[in-house]
Amino acid sequence: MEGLKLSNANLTAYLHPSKSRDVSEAILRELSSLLFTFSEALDGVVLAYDINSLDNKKAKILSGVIPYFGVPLSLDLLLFSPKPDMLLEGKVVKLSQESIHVVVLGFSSAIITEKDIREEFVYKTKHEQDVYASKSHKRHTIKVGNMIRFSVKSFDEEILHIYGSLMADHTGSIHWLEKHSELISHTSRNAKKGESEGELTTLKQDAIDGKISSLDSARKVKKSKKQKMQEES
Amino acid sequence: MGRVSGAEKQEFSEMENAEFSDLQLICHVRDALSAVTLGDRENYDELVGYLHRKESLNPDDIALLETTLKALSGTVSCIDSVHHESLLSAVYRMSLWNYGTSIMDALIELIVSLAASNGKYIDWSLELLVNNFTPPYHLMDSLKQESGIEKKNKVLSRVHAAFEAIAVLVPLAPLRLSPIVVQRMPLIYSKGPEILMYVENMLKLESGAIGEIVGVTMLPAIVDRLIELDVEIGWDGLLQEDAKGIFEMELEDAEFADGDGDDNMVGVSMVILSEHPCMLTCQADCIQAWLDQAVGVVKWLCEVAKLHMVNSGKRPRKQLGHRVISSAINYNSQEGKSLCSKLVVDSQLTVNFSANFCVNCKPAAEYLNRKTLEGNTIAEKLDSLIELTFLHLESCQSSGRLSEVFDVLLRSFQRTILNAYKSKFTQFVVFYACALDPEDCGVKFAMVLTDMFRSNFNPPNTRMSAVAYLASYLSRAKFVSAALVASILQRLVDWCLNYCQSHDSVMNPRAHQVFYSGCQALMYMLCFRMRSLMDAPRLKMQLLNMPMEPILQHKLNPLKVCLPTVVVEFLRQAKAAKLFMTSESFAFDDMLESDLSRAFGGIDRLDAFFPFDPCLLKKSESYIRPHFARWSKIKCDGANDGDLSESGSDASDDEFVDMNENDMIEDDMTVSVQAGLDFDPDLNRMSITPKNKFLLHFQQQNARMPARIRPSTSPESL
Repeated sequence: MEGLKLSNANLTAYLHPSKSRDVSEAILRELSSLLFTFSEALDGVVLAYDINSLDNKKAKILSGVIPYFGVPLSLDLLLFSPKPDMLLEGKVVKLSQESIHVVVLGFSSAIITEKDIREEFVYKTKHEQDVYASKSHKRHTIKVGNMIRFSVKSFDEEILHIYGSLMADHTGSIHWLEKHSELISHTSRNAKKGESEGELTTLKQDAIDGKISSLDSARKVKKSKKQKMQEES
Repeated sequence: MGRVSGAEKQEFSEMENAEFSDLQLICHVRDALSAVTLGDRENYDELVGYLHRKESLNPDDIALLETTLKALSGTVSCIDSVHHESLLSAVYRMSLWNYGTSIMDALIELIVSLAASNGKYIDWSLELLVNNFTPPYHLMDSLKQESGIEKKNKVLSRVHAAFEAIAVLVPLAPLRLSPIVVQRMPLIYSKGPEILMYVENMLKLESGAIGEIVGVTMLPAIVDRLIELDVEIGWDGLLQEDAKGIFEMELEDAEFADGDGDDNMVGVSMVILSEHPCMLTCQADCIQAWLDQAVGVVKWLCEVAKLHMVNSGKRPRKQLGHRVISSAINYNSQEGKSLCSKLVVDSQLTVNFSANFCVNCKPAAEYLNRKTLEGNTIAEKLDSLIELTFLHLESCQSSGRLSEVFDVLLRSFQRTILNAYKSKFTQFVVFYACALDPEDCGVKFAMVLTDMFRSNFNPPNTRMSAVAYLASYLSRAKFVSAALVASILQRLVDWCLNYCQSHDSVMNPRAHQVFYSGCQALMYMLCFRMRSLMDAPRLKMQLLNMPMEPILQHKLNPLKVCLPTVVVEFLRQAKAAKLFMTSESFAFDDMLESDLSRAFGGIDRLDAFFPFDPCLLKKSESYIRPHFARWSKIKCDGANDGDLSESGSDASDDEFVDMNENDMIEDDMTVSVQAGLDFDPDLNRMSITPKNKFLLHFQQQNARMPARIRPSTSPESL
């Protein structure tokens, strides 16, 4: 799954003087308020943080009516920032004639409207269950509870809402895609440049288990800030 | 909007016809919506028109509306917030309360689909659902009937189910719901039923499926609202209510006996409503004197009433006059009539006095009853809200969640209630939660308060009010075990001793205010709990071993500084129990407070702060009563120790005990109202409010009070 990245960031947490008795707790509280919100500066939704170091001895006190003091921190952050044409995986929670509703990573809602679902898929009601069935591949079905892979059209940063599409061939039910990976990778080699095949299959492997392992996505880590720091030093 | 082109109408009215499937309808709507962007609004306007129909829907209209809504649900992705603004505002104005279940379901489906389709509509949908918490104005009254209640259940169950459905599709929606719900809470000046309904919904959210996320904000918001209502009630306003309320309690089920006056005891009630209300009753033999005074009273009241709004403020003088007169009539026809004539002449009341009137005049009870029911005063609102909260706590307990809910409540208490000294009744919510689960919540509350007191990190005011709460709680809570009281006492004593030993200085109320408040708390608790502690041998040993002498006889001299009434009562009990003796005599001349106690109490008067004194709100009080320890009962139990140096009303307390129990009001009620403002277990000393000269006069004349409150003759008997 794309869209997850591990980042290293240097931040300063500004704390109210009343919190000076218990600085660690105050910092944790400040960081918790960042969670599940999109941050422009960090370019992503903060999902998790890990404090590398915090410099207790050098907190600068701001001048002003209320003298906040700033504690410099170094953090590892897990960020989620889907960009257009990225592939994401999520669980289907609702199917209708008009749309497929998906929940990604348990917190972000995604919708794939009818016009973004390729012709191959047809909406049916089988055995009282709503299902999207593929016309060309009999076994390829999408039901409520399945994990599917889709590509991102756009991302609403305020409400963390994703607009997705199932137009591309390598999107659809993950279970089926994994089984027929050769077919898919063949088409994808032609369609996309610069994506290594090995990575794709590894990603699929993880996705089937239903876990998002950050270790694997760390392979594609964009340690932008850290890189910059290294370049500087 | 009314004009429907032939083809469209045919389409919709034939919706039962299998020819037009859902798909075709959806296509039609989709085309209509997309046509708007191209400028063609005809079909679209028609659609919007269907949504506006509200009144008197016939079955065709209902079907039409339902179809429209269902079709719209299928085309939510085509709805654009700019082009289709009139459609969205039409849907926004639709209230579930106005329609039948089929339309309700269709509307809910539309709302949920809209919320899931586009991030822009999430807040909009949540707000729309929250709007449906309370019915529109014209339906408010119908809620009292059964059909209304049924409708309410239908609507609210759907609304809350919709929240859950949205939460499944958009996991972050509950986070956005909390601020919306809190922002839209009705203000304290809104009508009572509206506030009640809204809070009922909030509590439902708290215990519902999304309660884990939303619940944490709901209870504190409700407590905040309770406090806002609470501080609005001045003592005067409330006691006015309460005086009536007391009557209501007794007189509602009073059976007015027929027959002549011989068999019936004479009881006359008169309510003196004033800036400083108190309730006086007279015995039969004082009636002449009473009559004279009554005239004076009514005159005086009229003067007062000119300045104040009595009751709902409608023609106060006449109402007052009615009340007094009807009371007089209840007593005795002859005297009553003479009083009436006197009043008519003297105070120029425009009251019509004919025999008919006398006969038709309602007994005081019903009259007062009606007055209390009219108008949604703030006290009533608070009372109903607290009752609602109590019921919710009970349901939490039966579903096993009380512990978590109590944690939230406790945090809210520490943040808001603890430091709001004008809060009179809101704290009983915590009291009741403790009563429901004494082992867990009850103990937790006591421990948290003790730790707050002992912790140096808290500001002095917080520590003082924490210990005041602790003392009042442990004294008044019947469900708290004597062992817990003993252990808390031990801790307090240890802290005080420690303080004494580390501070070798003379008496200084301001500087050592925390210490003095701790000592006062100790003494107050022992006033209530001495007996129960002494009864258990192990605890008695523990108590006797506590080093109280070094504390109380230290240079800091807490006995001089603490509230005199508390000190005197404590010393009396301690002497009787041989716990502690003092050589100095402390005669405070029946003062409630002294300059020294005022000094340590500070601006907020934390020296005279007893937050769990009897609750004066009627409905809430009935819940609290079984768990609440009353001073008079405790006094009666320990009756014969020492000399009863208290005031006359204590004597009347004893008199009460002798009377037939059915005819009595609850001791503390009388006591608290009589005293004016009862902050203290010892009663009548307290007139925190400045003494009214008339009252004083009356009190001196007739210091011994009630026989029976209840008038036993009805006008019919005259």
